[in-house]
Amino acid sequence: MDWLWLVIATVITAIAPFAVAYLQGVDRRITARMQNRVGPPLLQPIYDILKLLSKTKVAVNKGQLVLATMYVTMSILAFWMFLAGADLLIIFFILSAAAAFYTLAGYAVLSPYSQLGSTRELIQVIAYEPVLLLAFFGIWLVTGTFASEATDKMLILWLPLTFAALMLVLLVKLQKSPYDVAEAHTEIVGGPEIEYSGKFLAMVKVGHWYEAALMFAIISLFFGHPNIYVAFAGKLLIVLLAWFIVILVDNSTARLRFGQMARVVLTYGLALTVVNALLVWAVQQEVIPWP
Amino acid sequence: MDLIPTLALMSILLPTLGGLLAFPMGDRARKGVVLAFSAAIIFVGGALTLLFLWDGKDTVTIGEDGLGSVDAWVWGITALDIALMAALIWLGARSRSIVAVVAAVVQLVLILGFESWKGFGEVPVVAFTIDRLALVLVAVCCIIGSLIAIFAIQYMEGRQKKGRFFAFVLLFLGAMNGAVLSNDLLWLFFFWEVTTLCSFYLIYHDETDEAKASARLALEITLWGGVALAVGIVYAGWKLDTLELDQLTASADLAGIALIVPAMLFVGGMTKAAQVPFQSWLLGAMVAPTPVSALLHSSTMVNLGVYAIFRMAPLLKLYTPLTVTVAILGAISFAATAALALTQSNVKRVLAYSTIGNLGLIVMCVGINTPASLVAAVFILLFHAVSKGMLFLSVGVIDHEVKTKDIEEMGGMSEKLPFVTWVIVLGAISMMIPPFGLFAGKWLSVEAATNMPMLLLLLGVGSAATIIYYTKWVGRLISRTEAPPKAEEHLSPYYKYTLAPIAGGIVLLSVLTPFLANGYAFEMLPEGYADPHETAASDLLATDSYLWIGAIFLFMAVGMFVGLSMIRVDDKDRRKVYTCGEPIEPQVAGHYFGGEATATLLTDLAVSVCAGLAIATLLLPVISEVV
Amino acid sequence: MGGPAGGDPLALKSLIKSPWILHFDTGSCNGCDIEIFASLTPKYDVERFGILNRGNPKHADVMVLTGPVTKKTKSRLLALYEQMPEPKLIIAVGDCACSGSPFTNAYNTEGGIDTCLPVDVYVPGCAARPEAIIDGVVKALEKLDKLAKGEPVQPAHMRGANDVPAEVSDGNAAMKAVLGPTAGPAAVKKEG
Repeated sequence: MDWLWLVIATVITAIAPFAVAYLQGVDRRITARMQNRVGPPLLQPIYDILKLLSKTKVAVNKGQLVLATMYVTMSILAFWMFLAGADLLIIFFILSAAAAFYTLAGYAVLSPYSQLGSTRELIQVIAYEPVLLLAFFGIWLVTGTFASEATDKMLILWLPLTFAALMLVLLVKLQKSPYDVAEAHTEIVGGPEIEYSGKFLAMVKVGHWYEAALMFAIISLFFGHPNIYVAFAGKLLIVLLAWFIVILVDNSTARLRFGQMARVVLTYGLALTVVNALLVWAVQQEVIPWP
Repeated sequence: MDLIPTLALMSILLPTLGGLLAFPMGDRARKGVVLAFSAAIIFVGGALTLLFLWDGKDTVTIGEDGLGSVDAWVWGITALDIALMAALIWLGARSRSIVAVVAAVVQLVLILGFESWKGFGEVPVVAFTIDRLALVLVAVCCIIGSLIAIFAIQYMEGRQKKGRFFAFVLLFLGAMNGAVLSNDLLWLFFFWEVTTLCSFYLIYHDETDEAKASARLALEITLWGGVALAVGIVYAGWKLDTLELDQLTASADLAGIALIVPAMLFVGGMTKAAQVPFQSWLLGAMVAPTPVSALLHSSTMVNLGVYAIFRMAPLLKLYTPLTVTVAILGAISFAATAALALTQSNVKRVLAYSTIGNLGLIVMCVGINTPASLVAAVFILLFHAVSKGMLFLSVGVIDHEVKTKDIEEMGGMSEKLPFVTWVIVLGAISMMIPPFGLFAGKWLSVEAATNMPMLLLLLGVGSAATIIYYTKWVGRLISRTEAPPKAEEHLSPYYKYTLAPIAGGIVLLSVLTPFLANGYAFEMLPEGYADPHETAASDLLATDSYLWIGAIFLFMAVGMFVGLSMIRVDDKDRRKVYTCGEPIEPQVAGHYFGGEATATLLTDLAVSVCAGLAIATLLLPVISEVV
Repeated sequence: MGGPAGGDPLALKSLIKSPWILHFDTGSCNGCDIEIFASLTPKYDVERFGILNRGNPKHADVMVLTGPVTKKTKSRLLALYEQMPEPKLIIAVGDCACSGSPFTNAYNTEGGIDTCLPVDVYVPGCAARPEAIIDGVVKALEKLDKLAKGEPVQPAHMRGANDVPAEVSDGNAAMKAVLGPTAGPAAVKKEG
């Protein structure tokens, strides 16, 4: 256990929300420009969080707050463990635990929107989890290990279809149209987050940011290079590319119904990952010649 | 060291004695008897476990000299076996089931015929074996089983025929221990069929039409499983000239038609473990009183089926198509039942599907047949038995207090029954979320499944579905209005003091997971498997994992501590939920992905595929002979 | 008394940067509502102030109200107001919201938002133009700015002592304090 690396991981975990907040601000600016308007300042998400932190406390019951705390804890844990080099599969299970706690937090209040939102969140889970698992399997096929240490292999060249499938998962996880079903903002007002306010809403938002950070970190696995500076620049580039694709898709599509969402993500996601895995296997077994 | 064999034999005989005593007694005396014997059985189970671990040996065998009176054992079991099969024929006739009668008759003919050819009363070289695998099952049976029996004392208050009930429960504990400890296959068969008999009467207990029909179905399916078992055993005794498990599994050159032995034992195990296509009896058995569901149909008896399959692992490994088919069958069971559980609103059916699914996961791990997957199988076996038993018991309390088994009617249970709700939350979380033991088992099984990648799809769908149906149910339980909880409910001590230790046990065992893996499970693998310390499995469970699992526990504990102690919601902070300002009380229904039509379609699909595969397992030995 | 009078300066400062609105129609003809939505569109774009339209009082800071408060919507309005956490502001948009005209003495309306709730900013017009709405929002932000600096501001205004609502939701003493006997007389001041 490399203690220095653990310390670095902790530091990165502490500053990650700020980075994601800035990316979210960029998202809102670019979205605004795509819609031919000015848009909020780049640091707007930070202002939002600051404002939320200074509101008075308003809640429905204690259970929802405790479960929201658990959700944020698991999100931070998943991200930290990824940086510290844990097995990708453990992170997969912790992600599903975080999703379960988020859902339970929504179920803990007897509000129609909250309950509907939580049910839809569960449907999201069944849509993206098998795809994520198979994507990790694809990574295992190429690198030979489930460890989340960055590899020198240029995974995006080996796993382009899996990358596309991960784009679908990213859209679902980041609550972006066409898959922003759980927090369907104009349909069910806010989904599981509706009964949160002030500090706790800020906390839930930060939890979302950590999940986003984790997804970006997984995306960054897809660029590898022996030279550390090239690798760092490449990872940054691939994350920004993925982010831009997400913003573009978000602004050009309308929301799907939850059944449609599950069907599209499951079928296309599974098809892409399975085909890619088969291709990688074929190349490795030298069934298909490849230079 | 002599203590271990004595304790092992006591774990078989003590419950049997208790059962026989409990039958004729009056209510009060029976309570005392059950309590006393349960306490004694817990003591025996605990002492056996501790002594075995402290002793450090891999296996303790009980041969001729360890048995005390050998003749009593041998002749007793032979005679009882024949009497048992006659009783099963009578039961089948009484239930008006030709299928059951034919099966019992076939069993009788096979066993009698074989024994008369071989000679009655043959003394086995090694009668009973206590090894690490058997110890896990004996410990679960003794400790969890006895706690369930104590729970049942309160649960069965006011019901009829308690004498018969407790007699069969205690008898069952003895038979289960006997089956798991047996090395002689004929003795295993005897104990196996005793559990079938107990299961029949316990499902039959309420004597409603539904109960009678379910008991009949269970009898039919498990008796034909017993036939498969008998065929395998007779073949082993006849052609392979051995009736002892250790000799059988040590033979590394089984090939061709002789593979019918592991195949038949596998199919027999499948019926006992209610795998698809044999799952309907377990779903029907949910009409039984809840302690029965907890004991037989989640913690112990169905584990007997996967135990038999586990024992066959070295033999299945000898022919790859056979072991691959086993793995696929297990995985399909897991995925199909997980999907089916999504459609159910009766909580006992959801738990039944979950049980079948987890057993399917164990079967899949045995089929993958690598050191890592076998360790995963044991983990899932242990943790599932404990968690599921606790969940069933909690559901029983809810049924008793609120008179409902429907998830839709369980809203706001955290107000009425807070202790039980917390127990259920812990149980459900321990079934799917890190860092509890089942997560470790699932994690290992996914890593192991990279050897057979087509299973990953089924695993992914199954685990996602698992999260959904548990979260849905737990969400229902905890959803409540803003009113602060009412005063603590007055739960009977029989409920509190059986649920609490099991809950504590789950947490304790989960914390000890890395020790369980390194110190225990790795030593448990049979001959012929790579030492896990030398394989990739050791990376997963090496010293590193102590820190990961410890880190997860720490984080979660901190999160919960912060949440529970530092968050307060005073009256002045409380607001109503958002209902657009309308003064209504929201009532929400759950989402059941498709309902009855989808469930039937999915069941039919899974049953046909798995029936085909099961037939294939029986044909594979023939094929390997010819090819 | 209603509004963010004497709130924590940091809270007010961050509220200036990110005021989230809850838009509610208490019985208007929807003319002003359409204009409010128009101001969220690219042509007028209030999102550049950080304003987001949340549908949900627990997330919102500023309540943007239209309509003359019909008797039926009064209890809903008060329930929504109660669910908003402090600090909060109220903007009354349109003539109906400001004074109830032309429905002031109608049998079914209370006659304007300030008969029920303390209003911080009045935006007149029928329908109020998006430019006027934005101006009202700016004035609200200026008010917050002054409060944060501790400078004197005109307090939120509420009239109508004879309209104390019967259906005050339980369990909220703060709300009861707000709706207790208020200063009364009729002079309606318009800000902005």
